[in-house]
Amino acid sequence: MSATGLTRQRVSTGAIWLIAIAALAAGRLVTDHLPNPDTRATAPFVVTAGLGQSASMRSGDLAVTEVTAAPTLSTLNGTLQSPGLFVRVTYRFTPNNESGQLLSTTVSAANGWSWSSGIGERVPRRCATAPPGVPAECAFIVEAPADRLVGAHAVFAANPDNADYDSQADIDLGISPEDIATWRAATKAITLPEPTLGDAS
Amino acid sequence: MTWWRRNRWGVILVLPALALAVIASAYRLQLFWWDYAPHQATPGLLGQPVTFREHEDSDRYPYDLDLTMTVTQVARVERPEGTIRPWTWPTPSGAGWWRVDLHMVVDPTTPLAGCQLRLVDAGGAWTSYENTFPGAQNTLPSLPCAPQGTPGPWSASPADLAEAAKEPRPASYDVPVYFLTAADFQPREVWLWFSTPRYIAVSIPTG
Repeated sequence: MSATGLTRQRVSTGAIWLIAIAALAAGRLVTDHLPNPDTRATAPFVVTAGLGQSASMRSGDLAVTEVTAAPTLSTLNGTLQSPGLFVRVTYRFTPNNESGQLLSTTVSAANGWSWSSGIGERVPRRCATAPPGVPAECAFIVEAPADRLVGAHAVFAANPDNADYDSQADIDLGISPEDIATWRAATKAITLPEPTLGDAS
Repeated sequence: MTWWRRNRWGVILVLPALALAVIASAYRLQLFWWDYAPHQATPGLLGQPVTFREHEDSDRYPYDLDLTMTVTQVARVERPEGTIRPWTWPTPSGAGWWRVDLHMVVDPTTPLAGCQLRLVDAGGAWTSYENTFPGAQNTLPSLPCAPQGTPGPWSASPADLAEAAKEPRPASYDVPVYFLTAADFQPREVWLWFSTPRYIAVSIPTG
């Protein structure tokens, strides 16, 4: 074999390696950017709405009716003081087909941080099981740093553990920097009212 | 030698092998959550007795349940009656009460603590029995299908049986069950169960 023949063979071997590596890299790029079929299959069906608007979930209709906050929380066990804010989200849930209530109530910040309330959490939720067609007016409280609340959303789901395969309501709370300033200056403590059943009268 | 001749045993054995593969994985064909909800009905009719037998083994004291139940009446009412304290909780706007009367014939030593009840409408929507309501000082019995005061044993443990024997439940009794529903809710069936998936479904004729 001549010297040029040997060089040509080396070049073509190198080219094949390069093509193989390029193909592997391209494959990696594609699989990294394609949605994962497992995640897609179990992902919740997200329903979005604004403050005061109704979100139609699988288990019923939800509307957040009020958001307010203060640095102090008054409970039956005493008064709690926060370096951030206690945020109270008041909502109305009307089950459509089965007696029930929403067992997952969370506030989620723009950067992905989230704060939950309810059983097993430091901050409470008060709600009641309503029969289908009868609204329950409920509220929950979370404690969060004041500088994370602008643009925060409230996230609701029926199941306390996860919302896989189920609908999840994502409500834009419409919190503005002015709201935060007002709430930080609030002297009246936040309370958690008893839930009520039936149309607001 | 043709291909078929050479491979005939292989081809013939493919069929039982496939059948075996399907049978061996057949347990995967069962929906594992199906049994968590009432899905296996014992049907009945308003005013007619239904007999229901089941072996209960959810705790360490298993027992056999053998009861005969009659739904004698289903009616709209103003409010619950016969509660320990007179009912004062105002009915929420847009809601109303249904009263379901049960006649039960069951051995006094049978625990009825797992009893759950539901009203179902023509579209399949259901209202479950609840005994507490927000803002209400009154409560309904926590055990809806046993008489108040003499509920019988809570389980089949010797201690619970001995305790219940002091004030035995009558062998046959009538008990009203109250449901808070939407004002326009029209029940078509009364469901009662102890452990899923088996339940009693009593049809209520229209009109």
